Amino acid sequence: MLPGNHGVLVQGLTGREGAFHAIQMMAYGTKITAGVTPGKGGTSFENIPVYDTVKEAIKAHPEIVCSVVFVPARYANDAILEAVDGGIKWVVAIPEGIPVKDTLYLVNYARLKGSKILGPNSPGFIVPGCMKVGIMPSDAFVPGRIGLVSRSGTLTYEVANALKKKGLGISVAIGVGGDAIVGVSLLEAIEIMELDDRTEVIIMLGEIGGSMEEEVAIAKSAGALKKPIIAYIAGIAAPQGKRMGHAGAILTEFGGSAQEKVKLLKSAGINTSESPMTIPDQVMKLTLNKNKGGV
Amino acid sequence: MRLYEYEAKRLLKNAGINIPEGCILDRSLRAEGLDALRKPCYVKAQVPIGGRGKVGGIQKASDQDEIIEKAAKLLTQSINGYPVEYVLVEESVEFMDEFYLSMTIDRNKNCYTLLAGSKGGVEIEAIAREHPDTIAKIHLSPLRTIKDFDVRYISNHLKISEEMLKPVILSIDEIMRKYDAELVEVNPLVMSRSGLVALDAKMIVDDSSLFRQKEIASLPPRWKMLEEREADLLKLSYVALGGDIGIISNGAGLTMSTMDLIKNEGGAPANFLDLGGGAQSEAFKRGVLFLLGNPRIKVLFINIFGGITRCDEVARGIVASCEESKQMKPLVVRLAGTNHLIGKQILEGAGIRVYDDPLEAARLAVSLAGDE
Repeated sequence: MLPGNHGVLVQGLTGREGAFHAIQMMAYGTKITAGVTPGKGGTSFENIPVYDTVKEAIKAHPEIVCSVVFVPARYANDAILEAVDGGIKWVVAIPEGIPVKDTLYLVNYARLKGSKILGPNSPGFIVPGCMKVGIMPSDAFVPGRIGLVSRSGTLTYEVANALKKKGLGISVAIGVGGDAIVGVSLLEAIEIMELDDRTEVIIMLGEIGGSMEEEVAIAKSAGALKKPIIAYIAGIAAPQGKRMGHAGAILTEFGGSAQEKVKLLKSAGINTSESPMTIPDQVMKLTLNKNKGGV
Repeated sequence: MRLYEYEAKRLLKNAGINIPEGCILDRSLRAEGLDALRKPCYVKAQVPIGGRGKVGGIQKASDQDEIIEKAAKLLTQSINGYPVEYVLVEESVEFMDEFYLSMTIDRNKNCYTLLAGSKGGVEIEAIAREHPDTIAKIHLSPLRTIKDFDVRYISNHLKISEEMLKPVILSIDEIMRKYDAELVEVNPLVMSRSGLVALDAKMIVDDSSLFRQKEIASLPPRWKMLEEREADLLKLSYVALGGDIGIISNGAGLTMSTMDLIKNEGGAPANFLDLGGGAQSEAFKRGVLFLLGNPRIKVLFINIFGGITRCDEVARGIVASCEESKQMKPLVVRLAGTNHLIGKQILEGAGIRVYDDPLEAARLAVSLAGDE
């Protein structure tokens, strides 16, 4: 389950990105109760108390269940470790460019400690109308019954906005992050939505590289996922061996092409979409059928 | 970043793994140590891509003259699209048996994976497909290092003594972590009379780690297509593709899906250019000018969904580049998200039409490219 809106810590609160997005998150209704910036302990920002360390922040604010990290990539490793060691159960890692060796260690360490890392290179998550922890532009998201899980930030906004135009809303959107190694996989994000009563249909936005989409196909084939899924995979036109922006979006000789992923998803009974723009129509068809007693 | 074979081998050697005696030649064809090599030798083109053996990138030469002649020829050639800038000359090694050994990052299991194959010399994908039982695999948590029981397992599988295998496996593990590698592969690892020797090596280092991998970051620059080199200088996240429709978008996923959109409509994307989150008008100006200057490109398709990126900044950048450019080309612009109405106003004030629907815009871009 995602953390509720009880208390969010912002690591890197007084930095440019942290400050900007903290204000946006608060305006959206997220309860930000503390910030951490080494060297600025004892000060405050927009009435939020700032601490030097996570330990001090947690001592003063035991309600904190989630931290969002805006620290620059080369210092983010320590910041995430500090959050996990502080016992925070959800750490949302926004920065892009954390070395994969560090992420590998962090993800395994967090698992031992019982924490989840969303990202790195994640836009965060949003429960429209309630809270957002991350950098998603709120305007694109209206409350509804569709769960949206994605490896890409802007693509998430694009699809959320296209749904909004058709009068369709979102129950929860989770950006798992564009890096090669991420703490919460597409499948784990979908499992969260399976347990969420507000979610009726799930949209998965995947891309080339890795095998997270394949994992979802296998789980669906095995009957472990009950809710209907519509998937789009970006990168049909991508060449082999070139990194397409995201560190995780690289097609290697070991597979991971958009074509292979689409084929596997289809054979698992997952609806695939050729373009993010056709997703809303597909959702409408699914829900219409449902009202007629179909899917 | 993919290392050249000789660079990877130098790291293996420093970590205590035996490699053949050899030396490096560049286009000056001068190499200290060439005389001292025992002939015959192998002359091996250094390119950051696989499959060179199949296209004549590795040749045997029996004496010094033949080595120079073959090296000189290779240094004028391209292999799988990469011009040969260096040639590695190595003594040939007699061996009884060949193996495969690699360490890589498993993106699914979030761990390192050590792969050991009793058939070396062939591509691992082919071995995995045709002889899966010849491969032994160890999933290694990043929270621990290689232990004797790991070595014992691989040793039993490959039928090489633990004593001989252990230093090789430990060195590969050490290199993997010390240099932030995503892959260290020795294929083949051969059994010669004097022990195990790494005949070929492949290594990929994580680009995100280069800020702390000073030794790797200071290696000679890899060859890139001219336009990709120029894009690097402009600090653009750019990949060249073959087509004639230039693409600018924001965010890796949206940029990829914009390429797909063009392809689905029957067009050919010329590039991937992600102007990322929060780009200012200056970055858009640079990006647009860069693509306008590319003769391969007939039409520009700009597809922006503003989040952190503001559409008014995008619009100002586009207008500024149009004022500056000497070679105008048809522009198709689609704006949505943050400040898109202001952006639209700015662009339409400059006579550039703005679209709301990406599909409609993509169709127009494709038809404009076809008309010329």
